[in-house]
Amino acid sequence: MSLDDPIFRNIARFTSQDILLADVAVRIQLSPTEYVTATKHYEVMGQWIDRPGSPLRGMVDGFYAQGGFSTGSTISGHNDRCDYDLDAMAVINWGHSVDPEHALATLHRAIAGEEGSRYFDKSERKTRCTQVQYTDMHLDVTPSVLIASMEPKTSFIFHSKPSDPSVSRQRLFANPFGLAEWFNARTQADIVFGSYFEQASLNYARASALAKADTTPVPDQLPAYKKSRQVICLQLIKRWRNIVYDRNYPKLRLPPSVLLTYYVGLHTGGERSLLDELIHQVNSIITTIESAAAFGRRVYAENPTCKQDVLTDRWPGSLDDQQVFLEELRAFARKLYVLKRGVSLEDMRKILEDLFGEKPARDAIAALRQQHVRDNEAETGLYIPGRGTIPALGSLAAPASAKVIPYSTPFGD
Amino acid sequence: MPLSVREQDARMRAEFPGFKLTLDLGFMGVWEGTLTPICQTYTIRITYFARVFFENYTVANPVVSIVVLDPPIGPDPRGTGEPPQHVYRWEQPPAFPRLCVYDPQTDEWTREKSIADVLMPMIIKWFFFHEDWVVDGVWRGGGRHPEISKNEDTCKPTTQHSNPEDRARRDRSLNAAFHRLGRKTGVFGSYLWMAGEYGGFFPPQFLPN
Repeated sequence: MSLDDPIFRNIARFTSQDILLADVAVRIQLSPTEYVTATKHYEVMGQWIDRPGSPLRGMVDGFYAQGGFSTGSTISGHNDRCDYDLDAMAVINWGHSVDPEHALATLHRAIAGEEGSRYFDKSERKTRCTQVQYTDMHLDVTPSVLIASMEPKTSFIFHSKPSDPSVSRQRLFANPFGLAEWFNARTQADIVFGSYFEQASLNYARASALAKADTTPVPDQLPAYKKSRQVICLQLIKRWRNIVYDRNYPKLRLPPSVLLTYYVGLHTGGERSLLDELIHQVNSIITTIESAAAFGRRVYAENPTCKQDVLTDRWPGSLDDQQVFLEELRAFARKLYVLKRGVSLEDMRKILEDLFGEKPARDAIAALRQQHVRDNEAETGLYIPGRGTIPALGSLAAPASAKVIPYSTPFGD
Repeated sequence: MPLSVREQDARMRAEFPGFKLTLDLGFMGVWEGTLTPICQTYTIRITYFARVFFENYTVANPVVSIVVLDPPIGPDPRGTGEPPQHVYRWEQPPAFPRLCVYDPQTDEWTREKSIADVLMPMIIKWFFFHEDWVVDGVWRGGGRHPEISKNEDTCKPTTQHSNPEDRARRDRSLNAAFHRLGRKTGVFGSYLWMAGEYGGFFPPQFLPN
């Protein structure tokens, strides 16, 4: 890219805070290599449950990604870099009145197969799905039945817990496909940020592959990584939620990702920097919860493409649960404001580590520092007159007003 | 030929309009303003002597001083007991060392060069590497330390007025200089009194022992 390139010129205006937040997101998302692997898992699992001999042979009408993968917001577990949560819907040609336990049990048998088969020891029955464990990731497969009279892909999903007969068997409306379509339509990536994030993701993948002596080629382009700021915000909010609940409330149920996805999709509009967008999103969730709390109520949200699909059906369980989240969101917002006001690199490191975990934050700060050290060594360091700022991306992308820092030898004690 | 305060100020206004010339004494200028090298904003003061040689005395101050007013650099920025790197601490308040952004034994910056175009970018660079150093204690911005005793400061004046006669002569000269300064700034008094008033602008070595 050249200085005349409008994309390049706009990227050069990003602040250090934006670059760091984006870099944290790069480090907690599915890498391009893992993305390709995950895509294969979906493909193979869809074929596996429909294989000859499967109890679902000939009955699988569809198999598609749902949840974070369908919105590009999958993140890794924070304790273990490589543990991604993938979700899929298996559309099975059953009648609407199928027994929930039968549906869940049959899907589980179809996945686990006979003893000795590929997923037998790697699959675990849950109340609404079967979870399959892979290296570095797990896939939750949810059985569903299409409701033809409703919006495309509106379905019944099932709830049953055979180990606890007191839990009633349920049939629930769901349209995760519609929610993802709604979210994706409302959070289109702008070309500048999308291009930057795609390249940052691919560069990080190449550097990681090099460090691991992995020869798997990284593509030059991967459109799935042209993400919007809102998607990055959703990833960062999910990551923060996981860390704060693990640290402070390990026994509480997490505010669900699907609800956070809905809130982020709801509060789009306006063009902001990444940090400003994150502040906007967090403040919008705070306002939503405060509005409900003011009336002594719990928040309530429906899937905008299926009113019967209640996104708050399992959280918040109580006003106390809601209040816990609200207080943590307020603390989150306060820290984001400190970042916005501007602090030293060391203070930024501490805040980012506290919010998003030690490793991605530390690595993102290190990458930023390293770029400027390299520039200084190559005597290509730049500054922008006026505010006296070093371009966030250094010599990689600088505004036209940037000038070269003359050679100097810091002296003194 | 050293650049005058006016000439320096013209370039400062063009490149860093947020910086204000807060004192212009002709032979000396003081600018204050803010820089945001990465995210943290710093308020700094630059004191510049366009002229150091006078009829009967020489100003012993460094020709340029850079001090961070807010937030203070502090004597122990990392909280580990290590002092800040590449600063002059001699007779400076511990929290406000003078920054040492170039090697005075080279011509990286001299009074013939613009503060705005040459010194300011060096200051910005110093700030980046200072913040970088605070993270892990490794100074990666190059540079060198003076080859003298650790207890000495490289900006300490080499000539001390230890002789009483010399000191009296210097005091008379300074008194005259301060009267001239007072006429310019509208403040009158003895040079000792004025030195106290202007203590913020005049580093301590300008005062009598």
